[in-house]
Amino acid sequence: MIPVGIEHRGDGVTILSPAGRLTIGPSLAALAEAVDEACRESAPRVVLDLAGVTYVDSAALGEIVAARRRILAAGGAFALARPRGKVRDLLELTRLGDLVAVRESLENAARVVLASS
Amino acid sequence: MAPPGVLLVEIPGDIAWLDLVQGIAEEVGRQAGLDDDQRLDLGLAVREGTINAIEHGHRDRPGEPVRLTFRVRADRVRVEIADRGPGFDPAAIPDPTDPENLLRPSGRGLLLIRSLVDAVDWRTGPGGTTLILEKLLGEGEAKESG
Repeated sequence: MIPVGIEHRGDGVTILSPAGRLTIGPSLAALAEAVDEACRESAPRVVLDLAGVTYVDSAALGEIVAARRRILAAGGAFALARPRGKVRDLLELTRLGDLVAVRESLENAARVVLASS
Repeated sequence: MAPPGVLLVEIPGDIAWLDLVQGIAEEVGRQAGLDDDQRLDLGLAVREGTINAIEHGHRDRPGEPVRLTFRVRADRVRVEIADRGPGFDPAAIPDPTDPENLLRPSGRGLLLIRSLVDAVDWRTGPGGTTLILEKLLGEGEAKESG
């Protein structure tokens, strides 16, 4: 399974950092597992850092929607950070930025989830 | 640049083969003269079309093979993705960017495909459904679908 970087910051924000392509199959399963793990905490504050993601497919965009639902159901907050190139294009095309905050820096994304909690 | 030609590929109906078909699509695009971005667009569109064939076309036929035909022409790359499913009505697919549909975890594949290639079409007959994708070579930016 392709690993997803998980960083638990001192301020309570969890940063998930997948790398490479994020598509249906092992890479997406790894992300879903990382989100589930974060949701075992009360009120998880989660930032999905997309800086290392080269491209996504429709299943990955669906997982972002599903992750948001699980995190909000756990009383938490969710934001996306640093989408690049094709990933940014597809987020804009699908208007997922209307659903989940998208920020150009990790710090700004972290502020969003801290302010939402 | 490769001369015009046709490549036929048949894969088992399993998402485990998606990386292969995407890779083939990108290589065909490279041979045809597409640049890096155009190749990725073609590869992703073929990936999405193949997912649709496996997950929707063959919903009741798990494992049924999907046949892909790559045609390199003088002015375009054309990819036909054939399944044995009953087809679909694109007009009946909810707009995934409509606010009331944003929360749906699925339904974005056709939107992605339309954004990634220059023309999209499909044919449904007694033997199944064929999704047809075209990526123009050169400066073509015109989008068609129907």
